[in-house]
Amino acid sequence: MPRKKANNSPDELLPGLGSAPRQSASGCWKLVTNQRNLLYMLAAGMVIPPRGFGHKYYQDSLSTYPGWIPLFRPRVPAEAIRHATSEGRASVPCLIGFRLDQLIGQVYAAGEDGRLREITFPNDLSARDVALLVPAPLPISWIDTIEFRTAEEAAGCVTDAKDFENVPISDFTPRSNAKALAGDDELPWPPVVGALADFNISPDVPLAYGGLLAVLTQLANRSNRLIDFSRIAFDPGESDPMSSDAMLEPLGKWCKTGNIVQSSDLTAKVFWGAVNRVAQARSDLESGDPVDVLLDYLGEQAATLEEKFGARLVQLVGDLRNLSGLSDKTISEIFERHPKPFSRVMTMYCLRGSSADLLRFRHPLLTEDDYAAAAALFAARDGWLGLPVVMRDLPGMWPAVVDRMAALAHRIIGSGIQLGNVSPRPIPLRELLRVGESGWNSRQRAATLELAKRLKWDCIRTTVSLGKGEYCVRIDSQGVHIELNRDIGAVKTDVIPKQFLQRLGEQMFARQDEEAVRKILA
Amino acid sequence: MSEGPIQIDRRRDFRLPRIDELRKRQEDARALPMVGRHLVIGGPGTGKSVVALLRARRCAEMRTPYVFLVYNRLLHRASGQLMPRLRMSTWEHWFPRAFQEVTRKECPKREAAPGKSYQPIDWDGVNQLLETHDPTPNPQIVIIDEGQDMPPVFYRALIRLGFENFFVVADQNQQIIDGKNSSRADIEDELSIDSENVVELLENFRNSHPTARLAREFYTGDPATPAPELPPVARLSKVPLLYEYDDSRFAVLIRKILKFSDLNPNQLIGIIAPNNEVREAYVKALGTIEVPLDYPRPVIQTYVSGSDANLRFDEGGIMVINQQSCKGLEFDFVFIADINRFLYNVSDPDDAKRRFYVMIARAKGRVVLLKQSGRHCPINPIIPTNSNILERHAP
Repeated sequence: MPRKKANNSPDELLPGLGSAPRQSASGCWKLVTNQRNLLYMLAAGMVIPPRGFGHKYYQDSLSTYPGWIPLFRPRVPAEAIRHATSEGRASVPCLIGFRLDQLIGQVYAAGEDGRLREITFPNDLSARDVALLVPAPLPISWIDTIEFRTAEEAAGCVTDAKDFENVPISDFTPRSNAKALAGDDELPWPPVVGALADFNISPDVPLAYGGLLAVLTQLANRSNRLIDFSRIAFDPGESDPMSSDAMLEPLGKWCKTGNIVQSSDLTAKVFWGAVNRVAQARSDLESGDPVDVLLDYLGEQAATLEEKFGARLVQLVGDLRNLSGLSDKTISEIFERHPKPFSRVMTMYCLRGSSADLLRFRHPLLTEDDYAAAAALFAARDGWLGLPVVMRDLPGMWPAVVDRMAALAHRIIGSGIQLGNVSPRPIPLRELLRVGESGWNSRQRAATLELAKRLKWDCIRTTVSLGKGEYCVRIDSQGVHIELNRDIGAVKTDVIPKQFLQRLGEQMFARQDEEAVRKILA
Repeated sequence: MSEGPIQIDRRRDFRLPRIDELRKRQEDARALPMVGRHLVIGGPGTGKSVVALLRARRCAEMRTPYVFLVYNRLLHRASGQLMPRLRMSTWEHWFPRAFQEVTRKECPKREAAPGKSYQPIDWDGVNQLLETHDPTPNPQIVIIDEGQDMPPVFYRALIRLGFENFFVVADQNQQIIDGKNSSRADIEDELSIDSENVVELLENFRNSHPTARLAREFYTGDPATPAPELPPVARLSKVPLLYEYDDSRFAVLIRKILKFSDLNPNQLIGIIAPNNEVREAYVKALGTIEVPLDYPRPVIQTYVSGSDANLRFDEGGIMVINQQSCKGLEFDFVFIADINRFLYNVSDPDDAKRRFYVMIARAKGRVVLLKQSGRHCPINPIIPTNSNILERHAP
């Protein structure tokens, strides 16, 4: 799949490992799975361990050593294909081919004798190795091929994917390769191996991180401050220039590590703890309603906090529990009763069920920081997996997100796996339209006009410069005409910046509209 | 809010399913072969209509000839907004045209009742004409939602007309009148559907646990359609409420409903009335009683059987309908208005139970039963008394 990487190559990051014999690592390594798991993993943005599938996992080679991804080259074992089809007629086998050029770290490898040994990839890889076990997850941006037995099965995969709102199939082209899917009965599978590290962990927090990146990117069209939040979330640094808001101060730290255990601020601790609790509930099949998960967590925290904060939290939890009944209050009344940003964010979460709802939520008491914090909580509930394709379909969005989710997942589980460079972050339109000292440049003006025309926004302004002179105004059935006895100076059509920027922040755009505008700006 | 109402986008979360939402059983139903005869059986909220709509959508995408048939105009409207641009019709509207297209004869109809224009299909006449008809195989896929509502003679006629491919979703536990509706066995027999082509959906994805628990109190126990399993317990999903109000406090009740809608402007609230008189009273009150709100006043929609079903299911607001019109619909929150005005047939208590089962199962969230206090309530014998299942609020 096409992708453009940021500058840091693995050679630069880890020079010793980067000098490995590239011909051994190169080529396509294939995972044996079935169509239903494939679609789920495309939605998740990563090849995930069985536990990440919740109740929807269909037996395949991923459960042979749960948490470890078996990859084969150039042929795949027939036994692995039988495993991937063991759940009956609905299990259509397929192969997902990966490029591992960026992978560095400890994996297991096996030759044709089936003996498994731990190696440092790619240095210790032998040209005779035919199988790998790599700690999960891997980003779907590394997918090179998707193969089925027949063209009909490949076409069926595309059709099936379109039944769901969260399976991005348009960037992939499944093909037929009957020979590859015939499998090789001679290849020993599975190999015998001793105890492996347990990486069968649902990547809940990485999925929440992916969701946050997407929601913040959508929100970033609203203001420069939200652009900054988005930038920090994608590429957190050591000392991010953040925020007067204590709750959001650790944003970069959470994005880098998946937790903020050492934060000194109480509100931040409770808030990011809530984000993690809600995220982890996604894969807990017994956890119940996500609003309950949050309110139970806040109730637990209230019991451990000092009296004043604890009492306020108890009151907030009580009011939020009442929202699902016949509440007598309007949103304004609730916000006025609980005026802190923390309370507003929790209230938004309890009142609106999805990140798409958050993008539509308007209230004059809400600040940009409220939206940024709410993005984390809503994204924890939805996860990248739960977002509709339309919310993650911005140019450059999904490779940038899935690379970062997978990298965070490896940092959290401590696998030691390096996934190399991440794809550059998607630049929100508003960032591309930042006004220079002399206003928008000609490309920006053309782009804003194009977008306003495409979306029929009422912020277009036409200026006719006539110069000095006398004009005659004539009115007929066609309308009003201004007649002058010379050539006119200039006709300029552009957008009214303030109105345009307001509109820009109000809605999501179809991919074709985004692409058309970005093409002008490129 | 001194600056006036805040503008709001009321679009409702009306969308395709996510891959992580469909369970394996639903996937099995979704994966049934495109051609052939298939039956999907499941109770309210099991996702059977979604599976049927996905099949219609796939037919459209593959340019396979198909038709998606629903029982009534409201379902037609709701399904059409969920998935626009599908070839969709009510079964009674579609059948005469299909009959004429195949046989080149007009579909026999019975005379309209005095003062009415509706002419029901004359199934005896249809059968007579089809006895001598030599069918040519018709490749069109007939997808039917709420298939229990159509009579067995309808399915028999389709076979005689040459239709060969069926995808029927049905819930037998909704009201079955012998000869007028079809049981599971009727559909299987008339369409010769093998058991391997029947998928049962058991899990309830729509209702909250307390709502499903209340609905179960009205389940009449027909073994042909297993009762849906209860969804996971979620404490926030409030236990359904029986809310009694004095007539003098009707305006207070209406203000509460309007405020609730204001708090949840993207949610569609269904108010299900026992009859037109109650329906009209609620519509009038909701449209006129003053209440301070954050957002512009919600749109109040209503529908009376036989009128144009020009309703929006894809936007939040309040929809007031009669009990007969609610089958197959889905609301975020349901009020069953003035339950003391519902009729109860002592010799057939299951009839009222089935109607309440259907009405309650419309709700994704909470259900509130409204009752005028101090009035005789004929359906009292079937209303649960356990406060863990139905909370009570007295004036």
